[in-house]
Amino acid sequence: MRLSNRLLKLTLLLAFAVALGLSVASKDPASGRNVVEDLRVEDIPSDNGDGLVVSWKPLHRSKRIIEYRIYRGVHPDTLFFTQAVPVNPNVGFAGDRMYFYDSGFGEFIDITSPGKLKQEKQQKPGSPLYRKIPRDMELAARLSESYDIYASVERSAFYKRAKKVYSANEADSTAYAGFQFRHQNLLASMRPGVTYYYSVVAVDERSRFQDPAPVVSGSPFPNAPEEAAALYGVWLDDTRELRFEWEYPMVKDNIMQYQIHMVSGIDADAWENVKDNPDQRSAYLRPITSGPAGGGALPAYTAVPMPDGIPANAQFAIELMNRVGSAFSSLAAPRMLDSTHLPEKPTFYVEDKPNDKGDRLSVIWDHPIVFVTKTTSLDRNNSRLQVNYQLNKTDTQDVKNLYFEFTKMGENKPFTTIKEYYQDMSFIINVPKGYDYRKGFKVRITMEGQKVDRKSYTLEQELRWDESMMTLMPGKELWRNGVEVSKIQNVVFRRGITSPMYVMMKRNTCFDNNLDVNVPYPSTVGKLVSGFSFVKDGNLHTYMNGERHMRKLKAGESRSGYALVSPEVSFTYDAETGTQLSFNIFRDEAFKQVENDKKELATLKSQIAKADSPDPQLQAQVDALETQVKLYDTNENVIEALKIKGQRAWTRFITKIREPESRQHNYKVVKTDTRGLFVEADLDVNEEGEPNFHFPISNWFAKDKFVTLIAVIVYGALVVTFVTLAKRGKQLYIRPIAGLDEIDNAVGRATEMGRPMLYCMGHGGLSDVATLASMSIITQVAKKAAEYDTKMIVPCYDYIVLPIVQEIVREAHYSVGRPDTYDKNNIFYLTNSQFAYVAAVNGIMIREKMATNFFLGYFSAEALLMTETGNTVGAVQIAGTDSVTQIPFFITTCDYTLIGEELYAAGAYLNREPMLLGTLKAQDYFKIIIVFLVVVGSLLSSLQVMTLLNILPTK
Amino acid sequence: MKKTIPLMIVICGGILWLLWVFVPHTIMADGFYSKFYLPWARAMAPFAIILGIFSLSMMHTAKIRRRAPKWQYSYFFFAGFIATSLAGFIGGTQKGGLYMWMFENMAMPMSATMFSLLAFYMASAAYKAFRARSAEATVLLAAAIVVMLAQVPLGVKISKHLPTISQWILDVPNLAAKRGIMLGVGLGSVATTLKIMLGIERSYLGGD
Amino acid sequence: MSFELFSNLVGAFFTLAIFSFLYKDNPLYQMSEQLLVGISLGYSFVLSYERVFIPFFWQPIILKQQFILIIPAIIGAFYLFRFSRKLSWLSRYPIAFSMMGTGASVALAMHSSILVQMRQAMIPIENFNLFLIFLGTITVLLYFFFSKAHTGVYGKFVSIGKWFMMVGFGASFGLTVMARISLLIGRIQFLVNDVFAKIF
Repeated sequence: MRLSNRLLKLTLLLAFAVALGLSVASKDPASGRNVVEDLRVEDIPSDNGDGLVVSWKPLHRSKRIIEYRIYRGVHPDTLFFTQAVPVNPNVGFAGDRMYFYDSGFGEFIDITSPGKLKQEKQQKPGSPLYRKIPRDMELAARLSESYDIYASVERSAFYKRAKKVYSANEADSTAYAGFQFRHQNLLASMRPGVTYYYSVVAVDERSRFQDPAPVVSGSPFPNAPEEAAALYGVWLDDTRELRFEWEYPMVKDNIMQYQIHMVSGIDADAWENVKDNPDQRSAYLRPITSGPAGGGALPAYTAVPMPDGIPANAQFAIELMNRVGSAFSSLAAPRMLDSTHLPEKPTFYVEDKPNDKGDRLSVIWDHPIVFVTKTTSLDRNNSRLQVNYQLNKTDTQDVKNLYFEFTKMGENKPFTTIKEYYQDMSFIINVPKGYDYRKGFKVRITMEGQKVDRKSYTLEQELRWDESMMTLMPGKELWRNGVEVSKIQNVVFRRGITSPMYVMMKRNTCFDNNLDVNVPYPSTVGKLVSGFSFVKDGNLHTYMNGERHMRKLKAGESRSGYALVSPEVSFTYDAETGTQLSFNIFRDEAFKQVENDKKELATLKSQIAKADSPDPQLQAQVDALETQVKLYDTNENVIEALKIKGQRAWTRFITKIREPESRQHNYKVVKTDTRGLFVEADLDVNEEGEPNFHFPISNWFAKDKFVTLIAVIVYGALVVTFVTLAKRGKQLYIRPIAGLDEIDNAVGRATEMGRPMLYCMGHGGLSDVATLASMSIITQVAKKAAEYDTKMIVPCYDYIVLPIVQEIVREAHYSVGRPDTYDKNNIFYLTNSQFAYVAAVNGIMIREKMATNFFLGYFSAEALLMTETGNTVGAVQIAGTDSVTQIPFFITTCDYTLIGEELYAAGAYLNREPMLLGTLKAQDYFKIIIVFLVVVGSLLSSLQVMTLLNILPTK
Repeated sequence: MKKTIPLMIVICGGILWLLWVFVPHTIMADGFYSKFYLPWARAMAPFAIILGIFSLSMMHTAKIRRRAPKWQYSYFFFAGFIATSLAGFIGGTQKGGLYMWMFENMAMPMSATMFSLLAFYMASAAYKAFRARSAEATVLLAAAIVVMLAQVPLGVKISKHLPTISQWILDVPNLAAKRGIMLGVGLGSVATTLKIMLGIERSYLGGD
Repeated sequence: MSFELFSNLVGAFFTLAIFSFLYKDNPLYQMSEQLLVGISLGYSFVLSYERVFIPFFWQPIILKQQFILIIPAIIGAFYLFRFSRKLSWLSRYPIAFSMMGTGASVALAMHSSILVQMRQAMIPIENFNLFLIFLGTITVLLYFFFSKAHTGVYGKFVSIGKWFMMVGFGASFGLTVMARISLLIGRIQFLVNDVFAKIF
């Protein structure tokens, strides 16, 4: 006792020293000064006026800064935390200046925002720095005058929780959909011309905020775009066509249009000097063609019939335009070719992905593509070569056999043909005697399968010596049916049901034969926020379009604050008239609108009748309204909608029509060399010439798990059979299992020695089946321990496992009639940190001088640490796990080890309860089936009969 | 009420989960899993750790009260736990705070050192296998030595065939053993989970 | 003394404290052990507050007012009834809820641990090594057959599986050794480079 007291004092002293050291070390005199220098805010060039770039001189490495925090506001007195830029304090920041691009829609207010306005940590009184913008509707309303706000509302909240709200502006009778903060994420984007204020604060590795930089300001402005990154042209002599393809610059979201000009009378260098000057350049230009650019998402290629009077040496430039201005590219001289140089016209089809929840499609434009990826020499004479290949295909494309024909360079007859009927992505070839394999090989790949045969489809590659890899590697080229295609890209475009414009999805290489398209189910509805409403001192305030309105709150009006968005949503597309119909999500408002439209049409018509001369503008208005009103009586979806009674049913029907429509797309594939040689696939249309719109299907049954289902049923049937047999009293034989027979002795030993036992369930949770198996073993061990009155300590790794084990052990004590000896403090939670757990278990083992240790469950690296310690205290150890990597350590350090399945069998073995024994028997008989099938399957596949193998799932 | 309803929850829920595997439809994938199960399971989770903390604290309190052997060290447990929790709740969990500092400079070095002790323990385990003189242990040790030596330059100096043998051991017997064991483990897993789902095994519910 | 060195010194102290266990159990180790458990528990406590309680309990129920989630929250609170003698049966409800997932394991284990493995075991036997793999798989699987004692010819056949397993275990033993030694080297490098080299 004396000794331990002294030790205690010693350690307390040590703890005190550590604390002292910590506090001394934290009193660094340099704190609180390191202001970021030379903070600047500038407009981001060539954007559409919603971005600023903030830059500053980073502090020296010795300041040990871990992050720079950026604060932004619309008033110099109030800046909100916007974002932090992390820095590694050991290395510091390498450059002279740090840049932060603040542009586009960024975080504004969401559910994680603070509840009320909070000043930033460690600030002096009067500091302008605040934490994130709080969930305060009045503040949001005020800020909305300087930002564009976008609300992303949870889908179900949008339709079910929208509150019909009216503006405080008496002149505005519109019903808005109002949402509280809890239903939406608000995003904000800066507005052109508005002044924003910034400050930056450095934070060091000890979380100390340095002083903020003096507030600086800046305003974003829209700019003309950057010039195109590249323009390529091709003359197609035989078809008298000019083809262009171009690359957009980095910032492209705001590019609206392109125009291609012929530039004559000036050379390329001189053009560079005049192209940015509208007066000087106009003399050289002749417009050829133009089109929309859609923010760089639309096709970046075009073909025009060759205009007259264009010299063969003509040069061209592309002009990219946005609202503010335009930019010309450098000159490009077209290549002189003919249409035989064009890639093969792509053909493609769109297919639903099988066995999914209905959010994926495949766009497929080719047969499966096979190619060699690498080779490895297997011996020193280089006489055997392992060849690895890759097979790109969709789940629905079946390939039965692959054939690889290897030919020596300079010869035509293959020296070997490999038939891959089992595609394991590699095979071995023998290099012909006397041939220096460094000269390389040609590989010709063909296949047999569904829709593809060996004659119509071949792929070829060359294997060449690679000095750096010291092996034969495939060349970059790939010949498809004799044509080199490695430079060809397969570009996939798609368009929605309402838009005629195809938007680019992805550029794919020639090694891809399909594209997986994700068409997610909508989970949010996004809308620009029109304004904000809040109630203050009994008055309703609405901030909208830069105006502030106020009126007394009416009786029955909600006192909550709302972000107001338009309640109109697109409802359905009428293909016949090409009209997109929208509806209000509030049923009564929608019905009112229908009535209003009809009335307005009548008034307008009478106006036209009265008018003396025809007014084309009014007529167009009438025509548009007339089509729409007509649809109220002719469009099936609308007719059905207008029959609906009740708000819930209304929104449900709207989503039922609108969401599937928004997920339908028409696809297009284009093959291009990216330099102007492109070929579009034929439009994907049905027999009547109408476009096919594809959408993924939600599957009710996973066909790839059909065999699994049968296997589960067979297994279940076996279990039921044997459980019934066992219940009827049939004796079921189980062979002795060494480790399990020893459990009794091990418990007995602990009792004799008067020392406790340790039962360790491993570090698995309930999702690890080994833990579940261990639970059924501990049931038996606990009973024995209770019977012999031996203390059993169970330190738990998982806190959900803890109550279960407590329950099991308590029950064990009750069942043997010793409830008094149950001590719940013997079964405790330790920690779910792997090595902290081991440290503690080792400590317990040594101090309690364990007589017996059980390690049954899921283990990883910590296993050996515990069993070795157990050995040093001389405990008998019984271990068991299904984790293959730990079994060797158990075998070498424990007295008995249950390997893999033995662990699962243990519960039934020990318990001898007929139901459990029945399942064990079922398990055994299922094993016989497996062994039988594996033997038969192996024999069949050795005879190249792959039927049985192919029934089984691959993954 | 005490045992039947939980058992029914397990059985009915088990069937739902079984369906979830075979029915990829959005009703199961989103309706059941994402919209029901995940939020429910997560809303339950915070209480379980409180249970864990209570359990360990009670064990240590009992130790201190009973003046069990080495009871003084239980104070260190409380000190570590309370200091870390306070540091986290008051100072925040960001890098640079006391909370992270304690984790990085106390818990991490200790855990990493514990892990590195394995190097010593492995040597002693190998020695034990050597001493055991059973045929199984010898085979095990021989395979281990071959595979280990093949990874270091020394191994290649001993014999140039060592890497080939090692690769063969890994690719052939090791693969076969793993495959056989995994198949058995798979069977055992199915049996164990099936027993729970059918209500044959219900020890986890304890007595009444 | 720089803050970094101070931090490293603390780290070095606890590193040595844990290493001291190799010699024997001692007060320094016992102190570090309890501290480690305490810190780890505190760490995960704060972490689950931040990553579980706030996003999955506080935000949905209190802030978003999804009151339906009060039901699972109450069921979850039943865990705490473990400490009550009379009401501890209530804790079976959350346990039952977390055991539901075993239903999925039945099918998933059948699919990925049995059927997919079977497919891999059925590859064509094209050479002797593949035959050995085939033989090994079958005998190891039969080793776990519990309905017949390992005697006679059957016992001899099955024991082939045992030898396969021993060689396999040896291989996985041998593979891990180097990784563990490099961990040890890492710790020693920390002591030498980051601590001692900076002091002396």
